[in-house]
Amino acid sequence: MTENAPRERWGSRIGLILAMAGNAVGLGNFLRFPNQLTQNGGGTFMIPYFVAFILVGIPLMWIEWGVGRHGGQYGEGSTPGMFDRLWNNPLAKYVGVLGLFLPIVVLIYYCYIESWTLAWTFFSVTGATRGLDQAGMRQFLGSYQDLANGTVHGFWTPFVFFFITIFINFWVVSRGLSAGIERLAKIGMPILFAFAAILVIRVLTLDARPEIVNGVATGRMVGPWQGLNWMYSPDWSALHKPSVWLAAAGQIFFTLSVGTGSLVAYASYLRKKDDIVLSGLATAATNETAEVVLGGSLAIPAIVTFFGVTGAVAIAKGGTFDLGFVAMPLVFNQLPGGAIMTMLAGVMWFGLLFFAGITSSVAMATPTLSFMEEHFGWTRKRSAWSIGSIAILLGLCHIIWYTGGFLAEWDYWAGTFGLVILALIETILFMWVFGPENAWRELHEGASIRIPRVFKFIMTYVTPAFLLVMMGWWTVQDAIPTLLYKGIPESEHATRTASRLVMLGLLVLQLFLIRAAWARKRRPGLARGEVA
Amino acid sequence: MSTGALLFMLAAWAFVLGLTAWCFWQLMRSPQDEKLPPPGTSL
Repeated sequence: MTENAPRERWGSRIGLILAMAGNAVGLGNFLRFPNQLTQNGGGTFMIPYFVAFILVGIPLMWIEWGVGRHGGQYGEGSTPGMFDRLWNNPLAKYVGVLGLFLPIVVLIYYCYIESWTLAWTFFSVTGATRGLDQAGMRQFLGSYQDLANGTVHGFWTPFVFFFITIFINFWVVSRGLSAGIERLAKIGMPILFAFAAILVIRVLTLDARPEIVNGVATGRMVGPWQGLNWMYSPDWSALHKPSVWLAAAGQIFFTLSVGTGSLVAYASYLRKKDDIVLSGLATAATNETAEVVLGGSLAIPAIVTFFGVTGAVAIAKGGTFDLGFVAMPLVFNQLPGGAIMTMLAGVMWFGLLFFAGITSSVAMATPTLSFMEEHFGWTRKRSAWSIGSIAILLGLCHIIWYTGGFLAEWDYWAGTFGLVILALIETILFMWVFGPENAWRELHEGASIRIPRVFKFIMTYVTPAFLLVMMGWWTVQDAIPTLLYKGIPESEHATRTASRLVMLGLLVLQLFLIRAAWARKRRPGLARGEVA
Repeated sequence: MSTGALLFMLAAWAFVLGLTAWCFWQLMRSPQDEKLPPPGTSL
């Protein structure tokens, strides 16, 4: 095979938008968003949230589509090659390593979390969580996460679901862009929206129940609308807090999957004259509908109905996993309709989380796959199964040392902090180095609509400034304390250090691969793309 | 549900649903809506 063979292309525009939206719609839409809303001023959170959507989210979406389609015209499906085409500097390709490193790191631990949703879908069918109380449900989750805690699950259980999840992911990507990823999006996204819509209708039509706090009836009735009231009650003082504005920007950033390297990889499979302005906006809007309308109307209203506002506050403070894997199954256990309704609700909830997860994880596999295909002449199947094997190997570390903080390190450095760095680099390269005029022209090639001119100013100055402030704030608030293990138990230090070293090793390996790929290009008698 | 909370929720829903509907309406009336050539086709 030679890399000069025609690149794959998206089969249809709707398939492209569904795949892009599938990449963006993830677990965060249904678990992280409602948590952020309740902890950052309720209804008033939506003001900084939409401001960030307009000033950071939509511009970054267009920038990533632009960088990706531009690189794709030169046969580049990953950021080392894309950056090399934007910035005529030998360093450009090495800076682009982030677009290979971040998605593969996130993919590996994300697949482990995704495997939980597959496992809980199975447990919903078998009725394993039926009849458990809050302590029992926590023990059920704790035993799954901690291999040393065999009180509920066998040692092998998390491994089995992880292997199945990895197999499904890499089987999909091995089938190619149109027959694998696009088909998954066309099947998975409608199922996700249908499951979410059914659950929202069921939750919002629940009858109000007497509120009980610490075993004592308060005499008040609580239902889903009290949950929505709690979520959206405005707290105007929150608007004066910089932390709320940064939380809103962070949520927009994560929910749209910008800065992961996967959007640019997907966009590289577009033709020069394919629209990216309207398609990018449609992708962002679809993700927002999934987040605000569906994600915002599920977990919290359901939990408030069964646990009251006080109970919901305690659950929300327990974090997103408690919300999804402890509180929601407890809610399903109490739904009218008996065991059948409990099973159906569980299958739909964890099924929708699984589809939200897998449509994102296959996107994260794409940059590395493209890189190996384009620069080393590997076939798609060979790339997919090789990367799948590495994902299994490194994923085992997450399963074995989850409770030691192995995953938390990857999630922070790659899945949180690294994304802002990559997004900032992409913005600077596209809007400053490539130039605002070139970028503007590139975005409007084949565009179905025109971008309002004010966005040229926003994308050149406001978006990078916003990202710089975010990065500075997070460096002071989180990055330095995390680096120095502040507030982290000493028992976790060794595991966390090992976790960082594995990440570093992966980064060095990818830098070496980039060097080798460019060395191959320079070899006499070997045209770019030909396999030796 | 308080008026303030209801207004915030409805405004947020209206914004995202309106934007999504407008985007898909534009997509349907734009000429690129037709099926693209089969995958594997060169530039």
